[in-house]
Amino acid sequence: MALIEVRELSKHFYVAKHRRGVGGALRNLFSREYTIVRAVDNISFQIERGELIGYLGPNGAGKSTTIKMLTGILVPSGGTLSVSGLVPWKQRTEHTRRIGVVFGQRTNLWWDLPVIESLDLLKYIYKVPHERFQQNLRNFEKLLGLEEFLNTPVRSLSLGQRMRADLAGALLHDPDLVFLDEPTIGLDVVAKERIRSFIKEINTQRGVTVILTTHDLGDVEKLCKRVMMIDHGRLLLDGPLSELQERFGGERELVVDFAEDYPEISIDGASVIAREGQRVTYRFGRGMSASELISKLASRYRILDLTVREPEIENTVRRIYEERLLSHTSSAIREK
Amino acid sequence: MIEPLSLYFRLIGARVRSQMQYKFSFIADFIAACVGMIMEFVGVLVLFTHMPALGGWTLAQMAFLYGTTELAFSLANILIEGFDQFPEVIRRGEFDKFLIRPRNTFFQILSSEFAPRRIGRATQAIFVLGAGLWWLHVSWGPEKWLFLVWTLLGGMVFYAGLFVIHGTFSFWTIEALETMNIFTYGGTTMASYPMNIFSEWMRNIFIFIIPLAFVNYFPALYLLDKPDPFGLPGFMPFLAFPLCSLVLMIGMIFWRVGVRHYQSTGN
Amino acid sequence: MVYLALFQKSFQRMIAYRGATIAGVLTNFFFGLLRAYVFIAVYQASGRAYIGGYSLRDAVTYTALTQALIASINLWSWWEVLRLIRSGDITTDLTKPYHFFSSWLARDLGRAMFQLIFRGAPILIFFPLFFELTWPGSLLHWAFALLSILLAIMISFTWRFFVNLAAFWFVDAMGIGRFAYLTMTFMSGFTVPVAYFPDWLKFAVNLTPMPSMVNTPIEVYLGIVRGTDLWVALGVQIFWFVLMTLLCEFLYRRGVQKLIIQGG
Repeated sequence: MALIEVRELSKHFYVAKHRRGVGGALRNLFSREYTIVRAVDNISFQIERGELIGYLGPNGAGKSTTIKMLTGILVPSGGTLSVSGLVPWKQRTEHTRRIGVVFGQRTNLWWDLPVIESLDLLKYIYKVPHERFQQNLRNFEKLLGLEEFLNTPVRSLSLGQRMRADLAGALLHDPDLVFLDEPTIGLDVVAKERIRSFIKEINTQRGVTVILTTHDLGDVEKLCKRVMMIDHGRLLLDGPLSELQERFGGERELVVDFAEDYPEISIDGASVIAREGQRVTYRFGRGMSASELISKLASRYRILDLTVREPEIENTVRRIYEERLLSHTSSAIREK
Repeated sequence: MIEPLSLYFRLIGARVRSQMQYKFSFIADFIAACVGMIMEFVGVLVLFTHMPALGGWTLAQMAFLYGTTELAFSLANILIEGFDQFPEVIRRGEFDKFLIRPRNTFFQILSSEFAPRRIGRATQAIFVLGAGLWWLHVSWGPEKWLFLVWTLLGGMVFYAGLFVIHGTFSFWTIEALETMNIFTYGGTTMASYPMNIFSEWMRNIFIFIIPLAFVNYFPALYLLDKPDPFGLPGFMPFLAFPLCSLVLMIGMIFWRVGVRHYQSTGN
Repeated sequence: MVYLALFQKSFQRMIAYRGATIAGVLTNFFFGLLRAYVFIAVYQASGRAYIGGYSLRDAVTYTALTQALIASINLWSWWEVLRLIRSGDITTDLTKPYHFFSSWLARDLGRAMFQLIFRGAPILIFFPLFFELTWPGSLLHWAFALLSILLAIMISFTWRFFVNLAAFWFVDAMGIGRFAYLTMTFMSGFTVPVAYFPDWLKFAVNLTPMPSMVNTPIEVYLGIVRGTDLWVALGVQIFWFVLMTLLCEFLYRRGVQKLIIQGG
């Protein structure tokens, strides 16, 4: 059985509509009109032990609602959900003992206390055996460089330091599964890199399953093999990162260094977008494979060197969001 | 039982340590609450310059009534601060943090805050209660002293229950929360006067619906050997603790309902 | 005019807190009933028709009025200037094209006006369902009462502003402030009318601006202060407002200077 089984999961919120003006305010008192917001709309997926998954989607797409259901914070409106055989919201305490959660935007530690005291409190809350705690702490000190601020109150930490402390806090009790919500938000390149290598480390060395929600596609590119994308509550895509590139990568580029100056270099199915002496850049769509294009060129010209440029994943995802490449229906329905 | 208790003290200890970083603030708040709150009783003193007794209660007996409810209230306030601060937790969206920890949420909120600054209010209550007992020249046997302690504990549990209910309402509304002050702050103000001076409908609400009269009024009748003006059965004073505990139990059940509501609506 | 705009804006801002306003009215109303019964018992026990010049009906009206004025006079908490000082943001106000004290007075009056109408008036309107109240006998009397209430709000503002300024010199101004507010509750005649005080206490309290914030408008309303006394009472209110304003202005300037010299 998979670690996480999600079947036809939905979460709907009822949002009271406010009428405007004095008359509207009076009418609000007697009858209320609600808008149903389908924050998560009938999604299904499975996650196996040891996976490292990137969960993407624009703001308000339903990412954090999904995470809140998986962590037991919210009760689903429909569908089923189990994490290692437990129903998160029903068996909340048992479930939360086995998971770790980091919300990038706010800390789970004690604001006025030194980091070490926060970690110590978590040790008792999660009932972590003393030896295990010491061992983990030593390990995290090394991996995350905690020593430099272990005795600093959380309120005085920099964002990056706070995130490192929070990561340590979320992993002290050896969870099988961790949810990381925007763990690199607002960090500089060095701090990001440190956090990423830590995530990689716990995934590969400890076999911890990681679900990572992020806006930073660098995170996804460096860490995740599998990507799930949600928008308007619907799961639009679930598959390997490479599939995302293939399906939605749009046009690729081929840079060719010719051996001599050819006056005529146009090719059917590809357009020339730059020409600098003997170096020419072609752009071609998904309709033609790279090897097809290369053999066409090679049959006509002498070629010294060539490179295929894949589009940046960032651009790919932006295109998916902006151009609505994946179909979905508008999901807010007015009901009385 | 031992393990949660030791965790409770650990968490509360952490809270106190972080507050002690602002030591001077603590002292200022202590004095403010101590001297400031006693003004309420000074008001009663002023009224007594114009009359011998209020509703059949002498000044010393009034001091006893005031002291018992204020002490119970302020002790509850110190212990249950987490629920008093809970609307703020909801407003800042920090309740999620408690739901992802493998512990009972009621327990977690209870151990999330501790308010030593409210000790000032308790201090003035002890002072007035002490003065009352001294003026009354009580010559009680051990059973009555024990009953006094029992009564104070009951009152503390009662107000704790009200604060829990108050905090729990913030799962639904933050704006209209002030109405609950009628029962908490209004309750202790009302309980510092003898019940017989209030009109019947008001009294009945606070005897039969919200058992405020059991916090200190009925126990005081028994302790001070005063006849019951309402002719209610003689065992009324002894119902105090069970009824007060009932309020806390209702509060805890209401809390569970609130948490489930939060989990289904996401606030 | 900028002050009028500030006044309007702060009035309008209050409209958003509809639920809180209703909850506040209910709470203040309940406390009014509770206190009214205490006074009824006091008159019964004393066996007198008048205490300190108040009939029982006056005393009951006093409870309704104090509860109605709580929100606008804002007895218990106001920390906006204190927070500005703490954060150091107060220095940015130096660049604004208005007078600091007056701008906050305008804002506070906007808030107070809203609460006088929507939190005060309902209490006076519904209190007669439970008790008979004393009402001013003429339009002129109403006018004087309202004038005195307005002055009381303004003096209470100067007092709160004064308390907030403590933040320039003390780290724990909030504790000092809480103490000041709680003492003011008693000394202003909010807990018990000043007329009930023993003579020595009455004398001491009357040397302070406190009674001008609660006691005076109520006695003007009840007609306990009338004739020449009325003019004196209003004169005393104006005197305290002017004196407190000058004091606040002086301390504010000293405080800002201190902040600037120390580099905030």
